[in-house]
Amino acid sequence: MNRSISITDPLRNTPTTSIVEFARHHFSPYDFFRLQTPVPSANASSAAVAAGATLLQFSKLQADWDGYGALPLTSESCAHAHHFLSATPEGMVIPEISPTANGTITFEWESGGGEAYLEIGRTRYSGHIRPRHGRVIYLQGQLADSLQEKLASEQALLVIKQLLYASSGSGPSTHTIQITQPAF
Amino acid sequence: MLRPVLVLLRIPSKLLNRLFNLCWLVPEYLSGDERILRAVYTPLYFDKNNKLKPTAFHPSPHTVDISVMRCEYLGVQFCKQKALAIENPAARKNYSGFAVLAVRAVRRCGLDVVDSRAKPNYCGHADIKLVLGEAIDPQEPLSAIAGERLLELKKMLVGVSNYTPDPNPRDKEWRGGKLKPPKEQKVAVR
Repeated sequence: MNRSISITDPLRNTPTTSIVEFARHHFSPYDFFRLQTPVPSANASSAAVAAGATLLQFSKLQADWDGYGALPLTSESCAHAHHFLSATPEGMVIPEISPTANGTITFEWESGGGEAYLEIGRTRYSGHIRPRHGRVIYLQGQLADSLQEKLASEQALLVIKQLLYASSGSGPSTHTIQITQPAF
Repeated sequence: MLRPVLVLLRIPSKLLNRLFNLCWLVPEYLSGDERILRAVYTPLYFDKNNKLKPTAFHPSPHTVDISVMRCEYLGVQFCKQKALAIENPAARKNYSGFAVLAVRAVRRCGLDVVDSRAKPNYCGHADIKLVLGEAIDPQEPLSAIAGERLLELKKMLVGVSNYTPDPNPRDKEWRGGKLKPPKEQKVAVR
C-alpha cells in the first residue's frame, strides 16, 4: 500500500514546516516508514570522500578565519554536516560546501530541476528548494539529538533529490513523498 | 562635464590622505558614481565552474553588514594590501582579485551603502547594509525564509559586481587594468 504526504499542503502546514515535525505529526509509526540508508556508488563515494575532506578542513578553521571576525565552525555543526553528507542518496550529486562567517556550513545543489540550499548550524538547520516549476519549499528543523539529525537529513535530502534530480522534466507544484507500508 | 571635475578634485584628496592621513577629507556620503571593492579569495568563493559564489558577499558575523573598500579614496594599491592582509591559506582563502561594484547599482538593489570608518575599521571602509528583519544567532542558521532572502541578496550582489582577477596575486602592487563595475542593468528587487 502506498501512502502519500504533501509537505506543501497550505491548509495543514505553516509556510516553514519542518519535515521531521510534519512526519511525526502525521504518522505515529514513523520509525517503520523511515528510509533505508542509501549505499553510494563508487563515483559518488569518491566525491563524498573529497567532500568529507573539505569538511574536515573547515572544522579546523580558527576564529577570525576570514579576517572579518568570522566565528569558527563548531564540532556539532561539522558532525551534522558529515551526517547529511553520508546520507546523500544515490543519484544525487555532492553539494557545493561552504563555511559561513557565522560559523555555519552551507550545502548548495543546482540542477536542471532547480536549486536547493541548506544551512547547518549547531542545533538546527534551515534551507529551501527552488524547483524550476512550482513554489519555493522551505525546510527547517532541529538537530538537537541523533534521531532528529537522522530523520532531518534523510527526509530533506530525499525531497531535494526528488525535486532536483527526478527523471521527469516538469515538476509538480505540490511535492509528495511516497512511503511504502511494510508487510507484517 | 561634472565627472572630470570630480575626478580631479579627488586627486588632492588621495595625495593628502597618503601624506597626513587626513580622513576628514573623505566625504562620509558615498556618491552613486563611487566604486566599491570586495576582496575575493580562491577557492573559497568559487564554485566548481569557477564562477563567483554568493558566499563572497556573506555579512560579517553578528551583523548584517558586508565590508567593502572605497576605491576612489583608498586607491587600488591600498585595497590590495588590505586584501592580502586578511588572506588565510589554511582556510582555503587565497587572495585572487576584486569584485567591483558601483554604489548606484547596489542602491538600485534596495540596499544602502554607508561609510564605516570608526574603529576597528579604517578610513575608506564602508558597509553594504542588508535588511533581513531577523537577528542572527551565532553559529546557527537563519530561519528558512530569512535565509532565502539573504541568499537572494547575495546573488543580486554577485549579479551587479564585476569580478576582476589580479594577474599577479602574490605581487604587492596591483598591476591589473582599471577596475570597472559592470555596465548598469535593471535588477529585479524581490
